[in-house]
Amino acid sequence: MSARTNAEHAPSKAHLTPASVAILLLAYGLSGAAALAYEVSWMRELSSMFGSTAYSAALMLSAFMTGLGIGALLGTRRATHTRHPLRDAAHAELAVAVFSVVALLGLRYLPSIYFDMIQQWNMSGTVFLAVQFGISFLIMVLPTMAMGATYPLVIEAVGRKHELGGWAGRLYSCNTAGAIIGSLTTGFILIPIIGLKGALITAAVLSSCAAILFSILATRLSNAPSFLRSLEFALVPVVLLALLAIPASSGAALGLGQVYFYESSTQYKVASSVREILYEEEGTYSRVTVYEDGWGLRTLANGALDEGNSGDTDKGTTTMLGLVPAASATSTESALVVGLGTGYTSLAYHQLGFDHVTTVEINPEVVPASSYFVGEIPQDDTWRVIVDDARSHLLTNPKTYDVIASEPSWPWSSSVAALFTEEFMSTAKARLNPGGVYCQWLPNYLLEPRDVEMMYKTMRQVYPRVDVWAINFPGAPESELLLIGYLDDTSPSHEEIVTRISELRPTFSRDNPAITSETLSVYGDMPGLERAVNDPLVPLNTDDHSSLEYRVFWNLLNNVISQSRE
Amino acid sequence: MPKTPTNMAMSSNNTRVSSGWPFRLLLLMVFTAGSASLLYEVVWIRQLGMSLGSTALASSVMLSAFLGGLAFGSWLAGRRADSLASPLRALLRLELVAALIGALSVPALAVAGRAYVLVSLSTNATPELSLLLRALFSFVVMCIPAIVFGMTFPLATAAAARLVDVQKASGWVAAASSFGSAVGAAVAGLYLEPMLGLTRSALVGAGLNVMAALCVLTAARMLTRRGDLASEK
Repeated sequence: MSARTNAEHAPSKAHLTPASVAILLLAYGLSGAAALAYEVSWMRELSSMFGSTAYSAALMLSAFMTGLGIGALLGTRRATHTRHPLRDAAHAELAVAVFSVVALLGLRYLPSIYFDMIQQWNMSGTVFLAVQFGISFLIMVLPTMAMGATYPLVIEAVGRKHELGGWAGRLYSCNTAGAIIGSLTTGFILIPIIGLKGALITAAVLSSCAAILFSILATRLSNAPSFLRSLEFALVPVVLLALLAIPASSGAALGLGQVYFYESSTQYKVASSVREILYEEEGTYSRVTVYEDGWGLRTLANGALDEGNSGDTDKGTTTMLGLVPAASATSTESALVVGLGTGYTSLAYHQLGFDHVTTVEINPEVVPASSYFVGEIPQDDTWRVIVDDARSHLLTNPKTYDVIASEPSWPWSSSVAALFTEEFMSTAKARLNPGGVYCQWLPNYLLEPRDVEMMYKTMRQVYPRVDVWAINFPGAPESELLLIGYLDDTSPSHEEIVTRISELRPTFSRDNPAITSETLSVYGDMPGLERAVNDPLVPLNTDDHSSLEYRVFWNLLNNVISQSRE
Repeated sequence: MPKTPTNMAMSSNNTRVSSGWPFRLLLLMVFTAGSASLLYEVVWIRQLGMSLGSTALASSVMLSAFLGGLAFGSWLAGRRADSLASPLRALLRLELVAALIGALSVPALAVAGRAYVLVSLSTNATPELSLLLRALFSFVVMCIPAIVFGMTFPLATAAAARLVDVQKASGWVAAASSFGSAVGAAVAGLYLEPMLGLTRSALVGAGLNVMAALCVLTAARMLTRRGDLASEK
C-alpha cells in the first residue's frame, strides 16, 4: 500500500505535549530494558546448552537480531494499515511478554532434545552450527519479532516526514539507554538474586508496563479504547502466573560440556535423580553446583561443564599441577594458581609447604563451592583466593612468584582462551622470580598433535626451555599435558626433577592410589615438538589469533561425531 | 486525490522513481554499516578484555560504554538530522570516519590497554579504583568511536524520509540495520575471528564502512543526475 493510500485512512499525526513525549520515550526505554533482560537470560541458558564458545555467542546474537529485523518488516506492514499504531505497539509489547513464556518452556525442554541430537545424529560441523542457530532462533523468534515490530508502529504514530530523523534518534537513544540498564541489572542483580525465572518475570513486567504506557498514549492521541477496557490486557496476570508456574531449573545444566559423561539425556536424568545437591548458586556467569552421587563422588559443575570431581583420577591430575612445577622450580616459597575449581591444585601447593599460595578465580561462586572439596581456604597471607580475571591480575599487580600454574577451564570459551596465548605466557614470565617456572595445563584429550605443536612452539617463543610432561591414568595415556617453562636453560636437569618428583610424590600418593610412579612421563614425541618450533607452517596461539579456542571446539565436535558414528 | 487509473499510475511511478535505486543503496549502506558496527563491538570487547579483564563486570562496562556511545550518537545526530541540507553527505563523511576508526582500532586498543596497565600499576589501584579506571578507559576507547556509529541510524532515517514514505523510511531502515547486525555478528564470530584474527577482522570492518560510503556516494550521484537532489534536500 502506498503512503498516499494509507494517509487516506490514517489519522493525522497528533501533536504531542511534552508529557506525552516523556511517556512515549519512557515506554520505549522500558521496551529496550526488557529486550536486553530477555536477551541476557536466554543467552545465558543457551550458553550452558551450547557451550560458551565464540561460535555460539555469534549465532545467538545473530538469531536475536534476525528476529528484530523480521519484526521491523512486519511492523512496517502493519503500520500502513492501522488506525491506532500505538495500540498496536502496546499489543506488540504484550506479545513479547506472552511469547517469553513460550521461550522459557523451550529453554526447559530443548536441552534434552538437543543433547540427544548431538549424541545420536551424524551431524557435520556446519549442520551442528546450523542446529545451534535453529534452536536459538526457535527460542527467540516470536518475542524478538514482537520487539522489532514496536519501532515502526511507534514512529508511524508520531513521526512526521520532516522530523523523522529526530524521532529516530530520540527513540533509538532511549531504547539503547534502557538496554544498558536492562543488561546490567539482569546480569548483576536479577539473575544472581532472584534467578533466571525471576529475571524473566521482571522482564515480562517491564514489557507489560511499556504496553500499558503505549496504550495510555493511544487513548490520548487517537481515541483508542482504554487498556482498562481491553480484554487483551487480562493476559498480563495470566503471563505472570504462567511464568511462576513453570518450575525453576535446578542442578547442573545439560549441554555440550556433558557429552563425555552421558550417552543420552535419559542417562543424565537417571544420574541426576540420585544426586544430592550440596551447593547451588546462580552467579553472574553461570549456575555453580556441587553434587554428590550415590557412591560419594562429589562433582563441581559450572553451568553444563563439569569442572572437576573428588575422584582419584581427577584429583590426581590437579595435584600434579602442584607437584611437577614445585619439583621444577629452584625456590618453593610462593605460588600463584590460575583457576580454583575444586581447589586441589591450590591445596597441593599448601601441602607442599609453600609459604604463600594465591589462587585467582574469576567466578566468585566457585570459591564457596571449592570448600566442599578442600575445606575453607583461610584467606590469609599463607593461602588465599582472589576473585579477578587472572590475566588482568597479573598485569596490574607487581608481585612475583616462584611458580605460576595455569589450569583454567577448557579453552573453547573466549574468556578462558586468553589464558593460553603467547601474550599471557609473557605476562606470567614477567611475574616470575629468578629460578621460577610457569606451568601451562593442556587438555590433551581435546587436542590433535598439531595443536600440541602449536602450543609448544608458542611457549618456546617466551621461555628458552620448555619441558612437556604427560599425565597417564589406566586406559587414558597422555590424557593431559603439563608444559613447564623455565626462565633460562640452566635450571634443574631432567634427572634432578625426576628425583624431586619421586621425593615429593608420597605426600599425595598416600591418600590417592591413582598417583603412582607411572602417572607422569615425558611426552612421547618431543623431537616432533622441537621440529615444530622451526616449522613456519606451525602457527602461534596469540591474542590476535587465538586458534586453540576454535580448534578445541572442532576437535570436541569431531570426537562427538566419531563417537556417534561408532 | 481520487483513485483514477491515471493518478494511480502517477502515484506508482512516483513511488518507483523515489524508492528506486537510491533507496535500495541507502538500505544497503545501513545494512553494511550495521554489520561493521557489530563486528567492531565483538572485536573491541575481546581486544580490550585482554587488558581490562574478562570478568562479567569488566565486559559489561565495556558493552555499556559501547551502547552508551551508540545512544549518545543517535541522540546527537537526531537533533540535527532533519535540518541538514544533505543527510547523505553527512552519512558519507561519517562512514569514512568510521572506516578510519575501524582500521586503526585494534592497535589503538592495544595501546589503550597498555596505558591502563601502566596507570593501574603506578597508582597501586584498589579494586574500587581499578573498576573506575576500567570504566574510564572503556569510555574513552569504546564510547567515543561508538558515537560515530550511533549517528548513522537517525541520519539514514532522515535521508530515507526524503526518498520514500514515513513507514517505509523508518521500518526498512530499522530492518536493514537489524539484519546487518545479525550478519555482522555471525560473520565475525563464525568466520572472521577464527580465520583472520582480530586485526584483520577490524580491517574487514573498515572495508565494510568504505563500501557503505560508496553506496551513499552512488545514491547521492544518482539523485543529482536525475535532478532529484531537491527532494534529497
